Amino acid sequence: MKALRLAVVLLVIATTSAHGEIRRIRVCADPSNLPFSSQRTDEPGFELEIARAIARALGAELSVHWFPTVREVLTLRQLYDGQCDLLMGVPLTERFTADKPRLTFTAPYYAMRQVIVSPTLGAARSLDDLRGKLVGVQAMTLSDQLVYERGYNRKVYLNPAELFTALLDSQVHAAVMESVFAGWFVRRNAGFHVAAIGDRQRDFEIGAAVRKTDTELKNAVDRAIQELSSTDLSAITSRYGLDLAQAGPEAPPFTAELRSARSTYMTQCSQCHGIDAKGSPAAASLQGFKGTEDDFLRVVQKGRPGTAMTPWKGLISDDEIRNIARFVKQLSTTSGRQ
Amino acid sequence: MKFTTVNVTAEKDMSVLIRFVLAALVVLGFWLTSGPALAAEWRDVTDDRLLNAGSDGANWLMYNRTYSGWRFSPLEQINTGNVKKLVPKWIFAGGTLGDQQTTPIVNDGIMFTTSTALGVNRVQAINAATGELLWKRDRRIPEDVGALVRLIPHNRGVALSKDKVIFGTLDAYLVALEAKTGKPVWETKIADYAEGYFVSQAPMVVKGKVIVGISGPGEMGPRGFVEAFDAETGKSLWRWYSIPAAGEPGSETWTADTWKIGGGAVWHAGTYDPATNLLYFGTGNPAPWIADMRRGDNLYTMSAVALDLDSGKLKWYHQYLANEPWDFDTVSEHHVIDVVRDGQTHKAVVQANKLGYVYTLDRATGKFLSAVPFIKSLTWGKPDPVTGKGVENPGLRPTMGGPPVEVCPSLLGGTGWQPKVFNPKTGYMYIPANEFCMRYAYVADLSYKQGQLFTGVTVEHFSRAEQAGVLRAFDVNQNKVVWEWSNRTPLISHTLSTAGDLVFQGTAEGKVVAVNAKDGQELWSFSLGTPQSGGIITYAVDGKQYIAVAAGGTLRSQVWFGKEPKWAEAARVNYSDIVVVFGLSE
Repeated sequence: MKALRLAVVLLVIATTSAHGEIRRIRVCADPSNLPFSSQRTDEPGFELEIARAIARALGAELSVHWFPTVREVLTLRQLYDGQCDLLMGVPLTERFTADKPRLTFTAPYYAMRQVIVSPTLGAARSLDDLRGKLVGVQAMTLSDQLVYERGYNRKVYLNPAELFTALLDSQVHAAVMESVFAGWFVRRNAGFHVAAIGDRQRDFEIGAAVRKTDTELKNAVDRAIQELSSTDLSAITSRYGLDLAQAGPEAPPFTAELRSARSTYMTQCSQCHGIDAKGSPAAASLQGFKGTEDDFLRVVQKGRPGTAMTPWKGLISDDEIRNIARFVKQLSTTSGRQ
Repeated sequence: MKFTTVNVTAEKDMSVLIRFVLAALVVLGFWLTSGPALAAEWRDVTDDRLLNAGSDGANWLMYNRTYSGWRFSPLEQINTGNVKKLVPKWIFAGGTLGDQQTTPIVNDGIMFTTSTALGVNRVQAINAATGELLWKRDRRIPEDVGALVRLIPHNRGVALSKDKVIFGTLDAYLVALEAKTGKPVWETKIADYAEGYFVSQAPMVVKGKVIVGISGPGEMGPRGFVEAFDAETGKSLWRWYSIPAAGEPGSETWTADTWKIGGGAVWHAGTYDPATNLLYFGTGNPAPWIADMRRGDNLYTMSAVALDLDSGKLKWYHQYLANEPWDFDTVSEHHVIDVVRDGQTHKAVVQANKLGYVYTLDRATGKFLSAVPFIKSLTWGKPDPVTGKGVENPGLRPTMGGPPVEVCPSLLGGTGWQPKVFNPKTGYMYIPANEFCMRYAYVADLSYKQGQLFTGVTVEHFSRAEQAGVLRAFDVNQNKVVWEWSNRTPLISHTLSTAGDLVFQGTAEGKVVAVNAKDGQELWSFSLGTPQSGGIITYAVDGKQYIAVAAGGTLRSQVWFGKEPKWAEAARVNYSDIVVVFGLSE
């Protein structure tokens, strides 16, 4: 079987068979741009690893066209000219996609977020915590804009590497950067804390670009992204620290109210209902709570007579109980540890 | 008035008219029964009787039976030879669900027991031979008590003094009832329940003083204390705080104002040595549980303390662990035992505690004599062999918001609040011990809010051992474990030893078993249908020995067993507050 398949590959020159199956994918990748891609075999970069996983899911062979991606125009030309069929890691924003009529874009496979990185001791947990501090940013990035808009003291660096050095040397109190860089950085340097900024407007999704004429390839890649369960994808991204930066597209940020609710929940409730709010033989799963937020409030206030669930009326405010309900809801979609 | 009368003793010579009224009440829904002529049978529990309670085999006059704290009965009618013939004689239902931690008290055929739920402290007098209810008092408790009381409303029993039954309440009152009728005599507000104070322990009466340690502080914040009251009037005589106020000796072991909400509960009934005139208590953990929030040694939390009975002054202390970070509070009694080692007699107090060691201290001076481990799942550290102060293994304190740390034992302890039992015939202390661990983390942020738990941790218990509960017999003279009897779930139930060479042990699965006190061989077992959680005592009426077992479960067994699959079966057992009394089949 294996020999026969190899022969077929050699005979077929086109990238797709008559049945629309993808046989071969050429991906454009930078030879030296970790954590995205690299020629190193031990650490090929998460974009390249995801491309391989996509190819594997489609039963296709993957080859790499190495090209420095420093300049966007030159990189895109590789795709237009057919040097490669797939370009990973493009932002699926209106601003990026609108003026590229020759390209089409796949489904997203992760979400890039803006995060705060600071030393664990006295870690900044929200943008408000940065007031009065010196904040490092990379020039002309969304993070730069964000800190600028807030009017905080900012120090600008040309690239992520310089920003990392500034953090390590305590030239800045904290840095705001894209989650990918943050994850990469904290994976390598102990003693730093990553906090989401809690503004979904600033998140953007990341997908891949293909030529508009390659509809079969686009559809196949979309299918593959869907098939790669989130565990396959997260296994790859966690190797590069993206999980530490909570970059998952489904991870919503915690507001100050939810952080407070989490503290209350962990101290007052988690002993019975569990750290994951999934309950125990003694206490119901709150993740499985079927009622409305009003129902939740009522049960917490009045308790469940005849069970260990005691009334909490007067001990936890109504607003806080509602926030706990929202916190638990978020727990069911995220790990809740932030 | 906070009392509601549910039942009264009817006079034997009641008139026809009163009978008519009673009949009407029955129709209206009150059920009134006439009990035995209690008034005629009551014998006052004098200071002298309490002092000599050890030799008063027929009775169980105080929580730990004697001031020495032994829970040993000289009765031997039920013994290794006939224990297989033990059968239930009567069952009494207290009518509550939840924590049942009471130890029944018996004086000349009358048993006093408590049942507790959110909103009520109930005291009952029962005919100890028949199980017949003589009287019952419900003291209504406000429901806006703090979180800890709401979660684990419980009571460990009453004290007797002359003609009075004395108990503490969920709203931090001390109450005296007339033993014959259950009618209120006096009540004293000990502290403000809004701050989280309540009384869990059964008080102890010594020389006309009612000694009470306060519960709540270790989880709710306020300062712990021990207080003495006049048994006749309820008037406060002295109070000793487990945490010194600013400027007092020891206050330098607290940073800033942390002492004001520093915990240090006194959960368990004290012990007393007439020769030294000292009361012995263990003090609880500091609050909050997050050690970083209260830097310093945190005196006198996590300590053995000796207080002068007359003045309440601190005579000596020994701190087991400074700046305690894991809720390993000192929650059970220091037994007054004369220990013989290498031919030398030491007048000692012996303490087996959550830290997993049996400590021996000189009871006159507090001098550390020895510490020997009685569990194997033990990673936190060890006492310094010279000073006895805890020396922690590094890396086992969690950081705020950091990942959980695995520490052994779990916060239920190598042994918990359940009383240890000392049998002078064997020279063994029987320790209901636990082989388990916990994943323990500090929350990212915590602030003090009156009424809420001021702990700041998350915890999950687990066990690598198949048999997590191990009853261990510890020879206090040889200073080593001599035998053990194992159970699947942790032993958070009670123990009793008798001169019949028996040890009775309850389990969370709902069993009570009898084993041979000399070798741990299991001789008898009975299924109670609900977790064994209250006291196990023995007494005699009309020459017949009985074993009484209080059961009904404790919230802990369900909540804290919950995540460990090995214990799931026990966590399913229902709660129901009962006292089951056994006697020999005839």
